[in-house]
Formats: sequence, structure tokens, C-alpha cells
Amino acid sequence: MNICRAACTGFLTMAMLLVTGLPVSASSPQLSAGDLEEYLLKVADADYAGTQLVITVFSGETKAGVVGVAHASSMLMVAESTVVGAGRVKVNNKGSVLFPDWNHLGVSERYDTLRPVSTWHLGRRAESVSVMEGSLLRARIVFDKETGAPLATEVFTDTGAPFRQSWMFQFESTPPRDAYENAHDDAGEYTVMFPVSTEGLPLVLSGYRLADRYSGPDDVYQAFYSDGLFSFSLFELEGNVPLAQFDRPMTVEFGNAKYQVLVTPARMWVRWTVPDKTFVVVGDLPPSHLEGVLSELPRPRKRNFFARVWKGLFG
Amino acid sequence: MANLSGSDLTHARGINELLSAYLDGELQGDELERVVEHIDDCAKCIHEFHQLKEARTALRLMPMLEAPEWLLAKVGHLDSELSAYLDAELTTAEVPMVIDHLRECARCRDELHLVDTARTAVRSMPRAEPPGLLHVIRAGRTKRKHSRWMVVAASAGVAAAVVLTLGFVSSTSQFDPVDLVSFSDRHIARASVESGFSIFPAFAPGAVLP
Repeated sequence: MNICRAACTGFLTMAMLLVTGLPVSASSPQLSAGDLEEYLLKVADADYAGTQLVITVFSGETKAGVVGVAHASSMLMVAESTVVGAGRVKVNNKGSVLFPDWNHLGVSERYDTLRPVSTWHLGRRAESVSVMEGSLLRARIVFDKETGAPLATEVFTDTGAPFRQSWMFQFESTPPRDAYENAHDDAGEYTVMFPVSTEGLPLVLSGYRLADRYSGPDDVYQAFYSDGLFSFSLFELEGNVPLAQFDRPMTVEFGNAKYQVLVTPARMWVRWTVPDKTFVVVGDLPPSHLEGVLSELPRPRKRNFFARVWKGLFG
Repeated sequence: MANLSGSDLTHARGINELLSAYLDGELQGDELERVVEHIDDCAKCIHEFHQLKEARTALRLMPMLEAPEWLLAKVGHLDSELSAYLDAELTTAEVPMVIDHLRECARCRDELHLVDTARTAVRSMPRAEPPGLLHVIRAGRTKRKHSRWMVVAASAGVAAAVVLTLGFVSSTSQFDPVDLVSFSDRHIARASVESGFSIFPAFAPGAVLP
């Protein structure tokens, strides 16, 4: 009986632990932002190839796209024509843009991760990591156990609705040989972006830290902000500059101000003007973060009618 | 002569011509009667008639002058003198010479008849009225004289509107559109060295807007 009772007690204890232990481990922050960064660094070193579906849902609009990728030697080859990594983008072996210098920012302390949960994806062993922003589930990432590659990602809005999702629906742990050959081929002419002073720019925008500011062609300044998980670039242009892809933009109101918004599968673009300047924000940040950033930047404003006429006539 | 009708016939054809024809005894029949009736009723024509009659009387009383050299030297026929004769532009010395020549020269008589026929035909052509728009314009000119300040004000208003429009248009589109692809490249290139979702695959930056 004692043995039986002990066995029963032990079984019940085990059962209690199994029943109650998982939720406890799943609902308690077990990993810090630094641990999340380790996952992300493993992604940077992973070698893999696959086909990926990306969907963004914003303000009733859904944008989706499918693309083939190959990641080798810390460089990403996209659609067999574009190589991204190490501060450069090379398109069709012609070169494109190059950042020779940058400041690295780690993952913001506002993020924690729950204990990873073992799972399966495409028949592969994987780990699902939930990224918390306070009490809010901000993202969930499924990492391939063998390569460390991201097999699936989900980013949520403040209400828990999906904002952006991506899935690998075809995956190989060995990228093709040309991915390695193209990874560090620097052939082509690049537009070099030189770092300039960040004076006058806010160092932090709604939790996003200013990393660098660059001067580019056509007197366009680019400030890069990141919180280690999401990032955006703030472009500053002289004058009221129309943007080709904004010919039929969506108008979205953030904080009682109207902005032109362009939604693409992987990013969002926001354009607005103030007298003598045009601002463009592009990034992968979720809507509430975007609204917070915009609220701390100059709001859309037009010159009054007569001032516009005067400017148009006399410059 | 052309047909005469009504009391205003003299003013339609020219009082001097008709009175001259009357004095020359060229009018006949109904045409003669109507001119006579008109002279009786029209004070202006009576006055013209008396002036013309006095002039003719005076001409007849003038001494006979020698024929001009040009006419004496002329061996051939009359040409421009015929038109001048019909227009009563010849001097009193020239008229008898031309008349004498016409009596002797059949060719010049024929020529005189042709010229006179042509003149009559031209004079009998209907008088062309100006187009209706011309009346409007003429009428408008009178009004505009009285409202020229309105034209000035309207012109100033139009000029101001043009300036404002030009200023507004040039203020709204003074820059060429920028292609977002280059911005996309810049953002992705910079984000590629940062941890986070930016390291996850994106769409070809240079080819398709990601």
C-alpha cells in the first residue's frame, strides 16, 4: 500500500507538474533581451535556402508576396538577383548602395522572451520563441533547431491581431553553391553612404534609438533607428518632393494628423510634408510603434496659401 | 440711269449726279418726273440745284481758253480723259475739245459708252451691309468708352489670378518625383547589419519594392 500510495503520490505529483508546469514555464519570462539577441545572432550565421511567404495586414489592406531566399556566409541572396548583407545591397551584380560604417545597437530592454517551446515545422525540429513587450505578446519566432534559421515569424498588434506573418513553405539546410560565390562578391558600382553628424536629431523616438545618420544622393539624409528587433529609416528631403510609388497612397490618421501610407509585404512607408521638407519613414515596425514614432516627429503641416504662392513665385 | 423710286432716291445715288443729269437734259419719263417732284419737296436738293445751276451759268460766261498742250499733241484717241469727262473733272477748256473729238471718233464714242456702262453697273450694285457682329462691336465701343475703368479692373483681376495660379502651381510641383526603390535599398542595406527582423528575408530591394 505504501509503495502503491507513494507511487500514486509520485504519479499525481508528476501529473501536477506536467499539467501546471508547462503553463508556468510558458507564461513566465525566462530569457532576457540578451538571450533573444543570441537567437538573432544565430540567425545571422545560419546557412539555408527556401521559399518564403510574407503577409502584412494594415488598416484593412493586405499585402502578400512570395520570394526565394538563400542565406550563406552571413549574406542573404534574394530572388537570385539581389545580395543583402554587411551594409550593402547588390542588385544583378551591378552594385547599388554601400554603408562603410555603422553603430551597432543591441536588443532593447523592453523585450523579454518566454522559455522556448519545442515544435515542428516542415517536418523539422524547431523552437518557438515568444517575444514579450511588457505583458504584450509582440512576436513569435520559430527557429530551426539544426541551422538556427527563422522558419516562421509572427508580429502582433497591440490588440493581438496579426500584423505581419512569414512562413518558409520550402526549406533546405544547404544553400546552393552560387549563394556562397555571390556572398562576398563586391563587383559593381556602389553609392556610398557616409556617416554625418546626428546633431539636431532626437536620440530616442518612442523607444527606438538613433544609430547613425547618413548623407546620400540628392541631398537626402537618412537617419537609422532601431530597438534591436524592429528598425526604421527616417529620410529627410528638401522641399515638397512627390514619391513615385505614392501616386495613389492610402491616407492614414495617426494622432489627429494625416499621413500618406504605402503598405508592402515586408514593410510600411509613410510620407508627410512640413514647409520646405518632406519626410519618409520606412521600416518593419508595428503600427503602435509607428504611431509613437510619428508623434515625436514634426507633424504634417502645410504652408498657408499666400506663403505657398510666394514661395512658388520667388523661391 | 438706274430706276428711281421714293423720295430718298437722290440721297441713294448722289444729288450732284442726278441734278447734273437733269440740267443736261439726260433724264426722261418717270425718272424726270420723280426728280422734279423730289426737288420740290427737298430743301437740301433745291439748294444743291441752285448752286449747280449758278456754277454752270458762270462756266458759260467764262472766256474761251486755248486748248491744253497735252490735248493738242494727242494724235491718237482719248482714254483717261473719257473717265475724267464722265466725272466732270475736265476744265472748261478741255470739255469742248473732248466733245469735238467724240463727234469725230467712233472708237472713242464706243469707249465712252463702255466706260459709262461699267460705271453705271458698279453704282447699281447693292450696298453691302456690315456683318451683324460689327454692329455689336460698334455698339459695344460706345458703351466701353463709358466703362473703361471696368476693363482696367477686370484686367487687373485676371492678371492677379494668373499670378496666383502660377505661384500655386509652381509651389506644389517644383520637384521631380523620387523613386522609393533607392530608399528601399538604403534602408535594407543599413538594416542588414542590425539584429532583429530586418535580418529576415526581404524582397529584392532593387527589383521590387519590399
